[in-house]
Amino acid sequence: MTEPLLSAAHLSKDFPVAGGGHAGARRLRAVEDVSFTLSAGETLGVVGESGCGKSTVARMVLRLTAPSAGEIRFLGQDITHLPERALRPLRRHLQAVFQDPISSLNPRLRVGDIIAEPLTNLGVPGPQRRARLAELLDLVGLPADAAGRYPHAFSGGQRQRIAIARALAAGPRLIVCDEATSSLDVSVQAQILNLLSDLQGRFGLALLFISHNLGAVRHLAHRVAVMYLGRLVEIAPEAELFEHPHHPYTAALLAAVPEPFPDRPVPPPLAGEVPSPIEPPSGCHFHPRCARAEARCRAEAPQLRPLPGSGALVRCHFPG
Amino acid sequence: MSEKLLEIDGLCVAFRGQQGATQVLSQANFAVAPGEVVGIVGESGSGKSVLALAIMRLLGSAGVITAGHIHFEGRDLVGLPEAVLRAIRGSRIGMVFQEPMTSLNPLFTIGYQLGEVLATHLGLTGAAGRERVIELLGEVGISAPRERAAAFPHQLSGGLRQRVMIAMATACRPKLLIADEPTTALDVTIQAQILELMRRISRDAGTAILLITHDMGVVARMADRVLVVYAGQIVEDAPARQLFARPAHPYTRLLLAAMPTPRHKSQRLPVIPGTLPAPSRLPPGCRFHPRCPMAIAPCRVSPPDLIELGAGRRTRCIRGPELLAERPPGLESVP
Repeated sequence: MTEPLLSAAHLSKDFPVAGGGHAGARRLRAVEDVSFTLSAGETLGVVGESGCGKSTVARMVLRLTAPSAGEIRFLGQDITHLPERALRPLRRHLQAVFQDPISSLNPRLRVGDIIAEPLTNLGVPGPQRRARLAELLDLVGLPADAAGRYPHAFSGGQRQRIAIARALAAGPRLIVCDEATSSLDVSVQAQILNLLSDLQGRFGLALLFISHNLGAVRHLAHRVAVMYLGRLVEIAPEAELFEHPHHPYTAALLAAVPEPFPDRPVPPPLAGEVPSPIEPPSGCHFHPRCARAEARCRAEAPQLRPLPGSGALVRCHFPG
Repeated sequence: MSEKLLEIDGLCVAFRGQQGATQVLSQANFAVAPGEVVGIVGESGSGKSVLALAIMRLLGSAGVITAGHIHFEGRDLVGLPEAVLRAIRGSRIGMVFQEPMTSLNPLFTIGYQLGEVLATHLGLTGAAGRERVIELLGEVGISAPRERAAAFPHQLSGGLRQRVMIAMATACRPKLLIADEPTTALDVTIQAQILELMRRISRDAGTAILLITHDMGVVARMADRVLVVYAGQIVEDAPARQLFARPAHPYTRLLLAAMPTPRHKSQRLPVIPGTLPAPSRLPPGCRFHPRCPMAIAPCRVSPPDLIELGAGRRTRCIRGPELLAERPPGLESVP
């Protein structure tokens, strides 16, 4: 069996919390024991509410944050603790698009220089670079004269196209999209989602698509991972996860999405709020808000296990 | 015709800039009945928030109402002095904004701030005021309200802060609640709770709500009637059920189709080409025509009126009646 493009095994991340009384005694466990794989041409969606750890997972995969435990393998290499020098040749294959394009694009560089920067870093000579730049602008649907202008002259959707063009420049294998369409209006979001799926089809890109927008995730993802308070609670093929959610949190999350059908009965909202990750609940993190919770859920943390007869892995004592 | 709580008549708003004034809201006409929930949807820059701010007369120094009237409970809010407006805001009209952190004072406890509203508008002070504060916090679903009243805004989650804002906005039992993107900054499960709370308040107290949002799903869950705003104009007005079943403006139809849903996997999302025009660079004719797959010659030259379609529906599209047909030409592929 061939190795997947990316694999994360038992990733955890702790952050020290200030004001803990004993110095360094308090820790915030942002991510706990998260494992997944991603193959070429595949999109893994990661969903969850604020503070669930999905962006920390993205940052660890991108090597912007060092994991406290666990291993990340990319293109057949363990990159978890690879020094920056050794990582550099892999960087061109591992790119990112973030939520707010204006803060991730250097305002003092022309768009052409922003997009071609990865090529400059790779030492691609001028004429080839210019040809590639023209090709990239065309790929993401930007006019050729965009190269000479500055980022502020563009709308939010166009800036996200610039960010995507830069991510594509060096011919990546994987693009991590962290809330990449979240600040866009619906009509523009649709353009960017279509663009991402076109580019994936053309280049066999793998996408790690992190979003709180479940509609956007369903549109793009082949498999979906759901996170709650640092833990992966369910991971399943897209159709199964959305049609037959097994974890009660997945079901509650799906039910909460308001949809443009006024006649549909509104399910009662999930009670309570996400607890503090500094003092997470005992046992299953979701038990205080869960209608299915029993004594066992308070005492014992469930493991992420394959659910027999399904394609899903579920972290629940009483999966539905 | 039934008594209207709020009647907006020919309202125009402009912003003064270095190149002179730019109109950002043109000729808004609509009414809100007592207890009615009216959703105003549009994308960023459409003018929907300007409309909300204009009704509250909170446009700031750059924005001016250049024409029109805002009739509220028999008075025209346009032209009323600030002192009178201040008494209306908070007591007759409640307001909830997107980010409660910026609307709450970080230096005072939430109990103190809520108490101030009661003292200012209802003259309720002392022990009676304190008891009412705790009652109100309980009413908006805050558990342990006595303890929470002593909390500062930063000690509360975003969802709890929005509950506090709703408690403050509805403390005086206003007849109208204007909510501008009240759940946009919240997680989806918390959003569901806040929408449920607003719905309950409207039902129990008969409060009319003007809900401004970019989210068609939120509108569908809440509104009796929906106004769609594009480039500073109301382009469609319809009862919610009818609007979602069969939009009568191509923009509404495309906006609904472009929204990916977790209910089914869409192969390809229909897109609206281009972007919203800047208020200073509006195209001639229909403002949507450069992006409209149904546009025909007259759309490029003459600005359409908001035409009546009957059954409480209006559309600013000369081809609106065709859209009510089974397969509208130019939009065959749009679900």
